[in-house]
Amino acid sequence: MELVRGLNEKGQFKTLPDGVKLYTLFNNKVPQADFDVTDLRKLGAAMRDLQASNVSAMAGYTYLGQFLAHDLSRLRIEGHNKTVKSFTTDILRSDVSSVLDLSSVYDGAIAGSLMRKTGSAFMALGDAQVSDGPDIVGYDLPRNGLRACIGDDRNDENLIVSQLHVQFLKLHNFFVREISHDSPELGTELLFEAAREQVILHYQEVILHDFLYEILHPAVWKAIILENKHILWDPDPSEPAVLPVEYSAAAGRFGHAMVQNNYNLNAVTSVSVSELFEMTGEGRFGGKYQRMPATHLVDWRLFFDFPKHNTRGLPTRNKALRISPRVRVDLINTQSLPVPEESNLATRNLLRGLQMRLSSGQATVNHLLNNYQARLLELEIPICLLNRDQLNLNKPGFSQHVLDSCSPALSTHTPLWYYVLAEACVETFEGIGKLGPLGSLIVAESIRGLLQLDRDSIMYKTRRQDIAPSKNIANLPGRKFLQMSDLLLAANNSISDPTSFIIRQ
Amino acid sequence: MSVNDFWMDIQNSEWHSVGGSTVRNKQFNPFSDDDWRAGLVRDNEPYYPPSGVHIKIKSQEETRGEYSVDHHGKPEQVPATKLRTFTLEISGDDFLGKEALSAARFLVVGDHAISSPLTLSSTKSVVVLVRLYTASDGKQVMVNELIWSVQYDKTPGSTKTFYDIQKWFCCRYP
Repeated sequence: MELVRGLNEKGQFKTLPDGVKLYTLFNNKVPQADFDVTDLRKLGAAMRDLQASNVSAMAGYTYLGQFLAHDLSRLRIEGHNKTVKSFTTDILRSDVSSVLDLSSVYDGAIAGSLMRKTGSAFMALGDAQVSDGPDIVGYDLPRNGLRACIGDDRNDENLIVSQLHVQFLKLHNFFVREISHDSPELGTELLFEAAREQVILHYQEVILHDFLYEILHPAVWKAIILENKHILWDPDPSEPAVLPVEYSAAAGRFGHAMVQNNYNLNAVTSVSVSELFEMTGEGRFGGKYQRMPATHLVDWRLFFDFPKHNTRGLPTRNKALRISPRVRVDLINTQSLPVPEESNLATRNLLRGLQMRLSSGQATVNHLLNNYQARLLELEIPICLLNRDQLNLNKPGFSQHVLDSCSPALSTHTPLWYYVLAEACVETFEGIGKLGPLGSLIVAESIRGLLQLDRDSIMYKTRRQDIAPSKNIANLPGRKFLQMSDLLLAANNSISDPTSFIIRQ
Repeated sequence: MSVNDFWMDIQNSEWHSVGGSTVRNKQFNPFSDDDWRAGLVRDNEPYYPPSGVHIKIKSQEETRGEYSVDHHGKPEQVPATKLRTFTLEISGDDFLGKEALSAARFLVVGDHAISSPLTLSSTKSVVVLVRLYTASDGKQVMVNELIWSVQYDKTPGSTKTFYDIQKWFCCRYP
């Protein structure tokens, strides 16, 4: 049996039949589930055709979640081929680092590289293309031809995550200016490292107090994130940082349900999902442009909350679809996937869960109730088994029989990923849907644990105070939390519709 | 239903959505799943209120006085009238059309009301027509017809537009 490099036998690892070892939050005490592949394929197809369950958080969080996923799943393989798009079990044999260290932004950003501005601590930026006027400077990723010069190619796979990556480059440059003002004696590389550290700390805090607040069940967020308590995972920082498989193959995949059909990018352009993938370097900008067209630049006021900004007169702001079992995403490039012919993302996720030998949702809940009930009660986390109607999305007057129509066995023995998505449909909080208690617990413990494993994380270090937090949270009056819009404001000095910068000749 | 009935009934009630809409029921949609127009209809689904949405009517009545206009060289008197308008105060579960519907002003015209045009994006706008019906079980239902205009060809200068009308329903609350 081949051991995972850098890991030891003491941790909570599970071993797949082909010798691949995965980290599990449940210490191999929950029985692995087995499913009929035909049933899973039926379910994946049914999930694609479900009706959308309305909206939840602002749509920017869908893509901040994708940005986080790329950061967490950065492959650190010697001679890593950047064209590898997804995990196969072979790749998992290699050391996968899951620290929230923005490796997707900083990997390869050495002095002299195309990712850096020549001779300085600034990150390089590209220009947005205007068809009949001068380019808009600093609004695209740096590119060599079409290809983005960034730490992770996946952050140029769709327009919104690509533009979000630009914002983190700008945030780095903001901190270079701030720190060099305070410490003019710092040399270029020390200044670069100091700015990098601040970007990472601010990003981690936004993930904890903004992103996770919008996604998690309030009781779980309060206990695990705000009060830094734990139930399942209390890792020692000497352990390697590895993402638990319950997160990577199930609960962490909630963002696939949040993808909207259309987005208003700014005052003049709205796009469908397929256009999001075309208008990137990887999509060759639809065959029409050489770099990001200025007409498609993102007005972030349409994607995140800016509490002090008036949004009257703007197009409808973009909300994410509510987290639910409705997942309608087709993958374009499926050649490198574990099941090459499968392009339906829902089916692919269900098969991935089987491949990773995940437990069923019911087995996972029963394990928690049998072993941690007192702790769950103490933290007021209301985990309980979903009933058949909840799992089948049956409501008075509107029954969908999602699982029963595929195989009645799935209602008593439900794939963990589907279970977590169905659990998100049970309640709303302040009018929006969030993950339920089980899904929230897996996500929260995974992220909290990863930050505890990293001696350089926000759990051990404090950030600079240049950026004032602005997020209000219900039931926590008098406190403000850092949110994504605070970082965007700092990175841009002010926020406006970027298409207003287009000067026509 | 008389004019007064509509005005009285709509403002004297609170309404709640049960999530019902023609866009969520395939039998009402004339396009097959593989028809590109079905995709345009389906894309608009998140704009419709789900169950768990409550609506209060905030009404306003203004008296406009009598005035005179020139009609082919002769003065003509336009009689005084009352302009009846309302806006929607929407609470409960969130949905994509909430901001736009909350901003809309509805003008009562006889036994129905029509909204100001709601511009949702550079290619998509909608007008809402509100009527009240009494169902066979005697319960009153608010029927909102959304009249969509979607520019589907994004070639600069193109005006190719798809029109669609879909309904969503609210019941008197409680």
